[in-house]
Amino acid sequence: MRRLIVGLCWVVIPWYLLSLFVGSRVLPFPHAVAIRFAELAPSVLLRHAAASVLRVLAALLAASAVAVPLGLAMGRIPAFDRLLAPAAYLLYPVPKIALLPILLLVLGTGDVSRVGLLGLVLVFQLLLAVRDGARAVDAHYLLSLDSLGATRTDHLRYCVWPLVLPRLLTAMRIGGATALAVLFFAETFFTRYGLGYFIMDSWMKLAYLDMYAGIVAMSLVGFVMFVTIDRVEQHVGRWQG
Amino acid sequence: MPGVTDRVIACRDCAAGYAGRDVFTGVTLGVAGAETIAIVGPSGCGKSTLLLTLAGLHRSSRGTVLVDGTPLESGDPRIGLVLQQYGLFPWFTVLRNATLGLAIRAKRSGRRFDAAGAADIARALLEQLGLGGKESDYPRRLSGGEQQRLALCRTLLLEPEVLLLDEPFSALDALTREELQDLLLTVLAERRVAAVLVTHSIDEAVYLGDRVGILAQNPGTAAGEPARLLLEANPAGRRGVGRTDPLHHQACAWMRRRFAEAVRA
Ligand SMILES: Nc1ncnc2c1ncn2[C@@H]1O[C@H](COP(=O)(O)OP(=O)(O)O)[C@@H](O)[C@H]1O
Ligand SMILES: [Mg+2]
Repeated sequence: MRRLIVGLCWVVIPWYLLSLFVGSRVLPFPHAVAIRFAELAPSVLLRHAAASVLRVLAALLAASAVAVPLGLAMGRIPAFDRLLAPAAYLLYPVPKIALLPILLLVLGTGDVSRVGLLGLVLVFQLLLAVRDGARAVDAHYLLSLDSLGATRTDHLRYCVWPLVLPRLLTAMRIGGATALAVLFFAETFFTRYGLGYFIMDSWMKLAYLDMYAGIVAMSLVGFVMFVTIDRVEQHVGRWQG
Repeated sequence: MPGVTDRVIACRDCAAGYAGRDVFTGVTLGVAGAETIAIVGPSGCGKSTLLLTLAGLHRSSRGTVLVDGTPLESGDPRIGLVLQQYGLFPWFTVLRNATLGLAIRAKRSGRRFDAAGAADIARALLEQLGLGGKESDYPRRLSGGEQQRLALCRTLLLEPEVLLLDEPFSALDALTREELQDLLLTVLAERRVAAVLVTHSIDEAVYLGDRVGILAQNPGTAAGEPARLLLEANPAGRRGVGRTDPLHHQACAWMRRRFAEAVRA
């Protein structure tokens, strides 16, 4: 809670100054936006925010479902890594937004394409984090497990996974920022739901207060997402601290 | 005198090494139930390799290891190994570290793992080994001595027939080391397991071993040649002769001379 208040001060004070400077028609005062936000939040914004959050969650799930097993296999089986790493490195730097037309052609104009795009943004980052984590596992731990009669599954469960999970969460936090930016863009067409849609729609209707309320909602969504991942990270990594 | 194969754990003319080069060769060893063999050797002579081979975690290039007359399998449940760097998992609590072996062994033998029952047994042994109240700490919070106690606890919970200990006390300060040496003597006497302990301390070997072994290269061999094992009765007559007892000092002095002969051309 204190973090939220400190964070707000850093945003609100410069915002007031800027509004005074450029005029409150283009940049309304924070309190006006806050009132509009409170009016819109329960009815309109919640619905759009839910759509956006569901898309991000679906993309995180889909990307993890691909990245975790592949990353573990690449990290633990060198031959597998030699086979897949070149492809991963080749595709990683491609701006995923550039693939959107292809996605729209192949997966249609619905949410599958939008989630697919976010998933593509996330999957390489998660994949490489999981692979590097799995590869960095100290052989001493595995020997220790072997002395207890462990199988390969036990290696994964008791040693590799506990070491990979914190790295996966860090990658989610970093990738999440890019994913949100791409989400905004992906919500500006072929949909009537999502904060991206709401913001652009308000802008075109010249409803500036609504637009700013939408931007506030978007930043809150991001804030909650980052704080949640942070909390999970702290819980999972509590043995280190 | 019974042949080595009557012993709980035995190997005859064993050799093992890495990448086709043997680290030790011609090792013949048989440990009776309740007997402890303490093996001394300079660092790098192959003590850890020997223990891993006896544990079935490293392939011998010659000779097989028998436990109760049958060959060892990988991760053999009859063997309990305490690793040189303890092998604890920093991401698990003390209690979880202690019971992990039980969970793995249960799954391996197709039994359902009774987590609550295992935790109860583990708590009792942790208490006995001086780790009571630390169950939910992480290993990072433990001192070196406590980590070694935990490693010992984890292995003892598996109720092995053979206990293998790799330089268990080398990383500890002198006072803690003596405390843990005495604790180990108590545990060994109570459980009557066959034990092989390796160490780089002659004093420790004389204090803890019913028999004392020297693992070193034969005199006159070129550097890089595999080490051999030389076994002696404990010159003090038995293990656990008090550290201040003149007999202990005489025995150590005798072993030192024996060791010098064994490693010097
Ligand atoms: N995994 C390994 N691969 C190759 N050589 C090894 C490996 N482990 C140990 N060695 C070598 O084998 C020899 C014996 O090592 P080790 O058994 O660890 O000795 P000790 O435990 O007596 O210090 C050393 O020369 C060491 O460098
Ligand atoms: Mg060693």
